Amino acid sequence: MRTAQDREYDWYFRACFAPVSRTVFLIVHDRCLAEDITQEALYRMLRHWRTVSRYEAPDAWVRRVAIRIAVREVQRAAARPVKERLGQPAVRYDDLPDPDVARAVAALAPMQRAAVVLYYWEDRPVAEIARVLEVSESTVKQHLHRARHRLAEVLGEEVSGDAG
Amino acid sequence: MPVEDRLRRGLEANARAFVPEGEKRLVEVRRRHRARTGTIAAAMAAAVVVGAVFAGTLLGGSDRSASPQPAKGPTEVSTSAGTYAGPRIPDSGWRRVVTREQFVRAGADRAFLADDFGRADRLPVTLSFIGTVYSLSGRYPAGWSVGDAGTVEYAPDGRLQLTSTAPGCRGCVGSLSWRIRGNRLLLGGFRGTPDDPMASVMLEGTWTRIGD
Repeated sequence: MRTAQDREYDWYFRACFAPVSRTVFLIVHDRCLAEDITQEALYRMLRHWRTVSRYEAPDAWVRRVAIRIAVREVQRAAARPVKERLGQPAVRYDDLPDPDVARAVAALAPMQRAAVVLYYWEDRPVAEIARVLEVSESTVKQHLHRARHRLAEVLGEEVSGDAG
Repeated sequence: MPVEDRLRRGLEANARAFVPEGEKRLVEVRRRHRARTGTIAAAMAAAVVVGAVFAGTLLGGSDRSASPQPAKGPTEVSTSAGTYAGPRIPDSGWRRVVTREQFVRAGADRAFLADDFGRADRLPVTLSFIGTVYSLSGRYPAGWSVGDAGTVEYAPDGRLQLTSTAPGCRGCVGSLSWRIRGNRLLLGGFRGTPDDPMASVMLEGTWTRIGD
């Protein structure tokens, strides 16, 4: 017999899986890795369910954990020696509807990447991005500012005054 | 084009193109579950009908001189009173944006507006249907948060009935007329028990399909 707690966890699993995977995918650009990271975050929620279930928004906790894992993965991948990276399967950007944006975002530093995805895809306020990435608000603004200029250059678009 | 607009469009398109395998599996599991539940329900209904006919035959046969009685049992089952067999909203996600002004017009107080909108004027909302459950999430100032969740049923006339299981209003029922036109879900005619003008503002209107 399933307990109410199990059912509640299931509900959060169903509610979180797809949206969190999509955000993580925009950061790591790897379908399997995005799902693995989301499952890892959901597994951690299950492990700490007694505590997490008391939070106001357990789904926000899962998202935060998943994004932090994703950023670490990207940082780790960037730190790998070139030869090791060549052994990894190449990301197929051309399969995506907007490969130029995917390539341009992938060329950003890991933290800039995450800040851009959270700001422009999830519409998160700067303060929340700062909490998720465990940096100050001014650091997030700096990441966004630099990323915007870099992306405008790569994509051949103009930079307008934007919040953040 | 400003790079911000390009980014928003590109990220949205790329994100929507990604359908996690896990999500596909969940859809399959739900489909199998629905099929199994439907088969069991049909088998039980058939068993009741056959049982009632058999009982009626036996009772009728015991007194051949009596005038034939209408077979009440089977007739009652076949009308399936209280059930709805028409179209339902498929497993899907929908989004719309509600505005501070709409809530102000509906009589929202300052605390409600501060909680839900902060300093923003717009609140993007997502409504998801998965099998017999729904969830309503709002992008509140502190991030995405579950606004409401509960079970989905349909009234005999096909109206959508949402029964909340969320702690804020456990057991509250909202009933709405609905129809799907292309990638739009139209919800209207909200009736709440208890009456809740804020739920009406949140739910009534045109929703756009997301994902899929």
